[in-house]
Amino acid sequence: MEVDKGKGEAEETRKVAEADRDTVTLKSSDGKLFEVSKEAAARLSTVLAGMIAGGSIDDNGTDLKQIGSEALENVVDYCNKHANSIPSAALISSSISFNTAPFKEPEEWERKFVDRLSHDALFDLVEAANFLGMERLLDVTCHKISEMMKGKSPDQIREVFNIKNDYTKEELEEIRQELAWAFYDD
Amino acid sequence: MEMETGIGRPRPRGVTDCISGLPDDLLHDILLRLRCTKAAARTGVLSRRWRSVWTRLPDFYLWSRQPVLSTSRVAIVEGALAACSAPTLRRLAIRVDNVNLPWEGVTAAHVAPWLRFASDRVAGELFLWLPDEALAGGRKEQDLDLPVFPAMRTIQIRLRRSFRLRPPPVAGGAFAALTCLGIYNGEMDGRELGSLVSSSQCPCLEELSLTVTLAAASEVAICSDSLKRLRFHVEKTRRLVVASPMLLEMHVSKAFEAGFWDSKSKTFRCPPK
Repeated sequence: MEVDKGKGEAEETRKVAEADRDTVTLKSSDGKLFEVSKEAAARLSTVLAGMIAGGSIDDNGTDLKQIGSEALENVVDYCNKHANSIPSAALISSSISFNTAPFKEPEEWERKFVDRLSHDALFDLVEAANFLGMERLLDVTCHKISEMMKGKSPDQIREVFNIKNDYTKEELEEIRQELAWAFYDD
Repeated sequence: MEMETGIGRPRPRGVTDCISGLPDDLLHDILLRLRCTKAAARTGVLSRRWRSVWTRLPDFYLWSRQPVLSTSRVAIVEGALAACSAPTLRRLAIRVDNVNLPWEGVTAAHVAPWLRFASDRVAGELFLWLPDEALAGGRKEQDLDLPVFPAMRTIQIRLRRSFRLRPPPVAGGAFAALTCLGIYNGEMDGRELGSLVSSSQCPCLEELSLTVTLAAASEVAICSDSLKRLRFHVEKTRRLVVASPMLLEMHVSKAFEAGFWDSKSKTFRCPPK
């Protein structure tokens, strides 16, 4: 009885110590390790929250085989910055009205965070956010990409994103006619 | 191997198309943030990959703010709705402002198919904002049939002042999911209005905002088991009777007499001044 009880306590202590760790370690596809606030990771990523709740977090680095180190570094950086930021009133309010789409505007620091990214890093981050179920980061990155499109002609958009126009001349003519209404000036 | 397929795979810098390979739902997330279906539709000319991406967007935002030919405003709405290929939209927002718009610009005959489209294809929110001309004097009255919206949760419509909104015949489930309704401008029949917003047609309605004119001076009776907030600014209301046990807030103007129907005492009671 005595021995069993002692063993149980030791087990309990180990579990508590594990639960008490306030960071988790993530491992990129190329084997690099990153520490991230457990609270922020669970709050910002549905996938990481599920892994933490399900106990599938590995102390030696939880494998995220889909995500390269550059993208994972940005994910972790975002989570840690988010953990230290105080949400503004604008972020909390989510009332839907006629003139506002149901998206939250990025915070100032979030804008800066994505503004400094290279093109490739931005797109890697969108995919990583999508993979990890990070709604807020997806909001911020998609907002940035949409800003890169706003007010631009199709030619300018192709140039910004290196999109190759693979329509034939006839096809393009046809689709321009179909979409004539979308090219009325306003 | 993983680096070849995973996120962050090496690619030639600066010359690769990073965006076209994204899955449709991510492209939708990006295009939705343009908050303009017209701008989203223009991406259809980028390349074959993009041709129909925008047509499956779950939210359509059709605005026209600048002075342009009135015919093209209608064409923008009609063009977009005709090309829409999503089986169900979450949100349809149409706004046509009144800058330089001649009276003939948007008629009830234009708007009726937009409402029918929303009835068939939108499960969520409908915003329809038509020009607000100061006076409807001398304008010919036009009937506009309101279709049934069994899956709609929010409807906000601003009509033209000479439109007379005709609700559908009373039938179960016509507005089964509707929680928020706003009707601005336009004319309605007092009895049809009361019947439209009462529990028999709108069993879940919680917020109701009405700024309309009755076709003839009459009483409006609202009988709702769900209504919580009411803004009632209906011209030519002789008497407003509200029987709604859940009501928390009520703003009334333009009604000659307003009060609650007390079902216990079976009497009409005016709110204390």
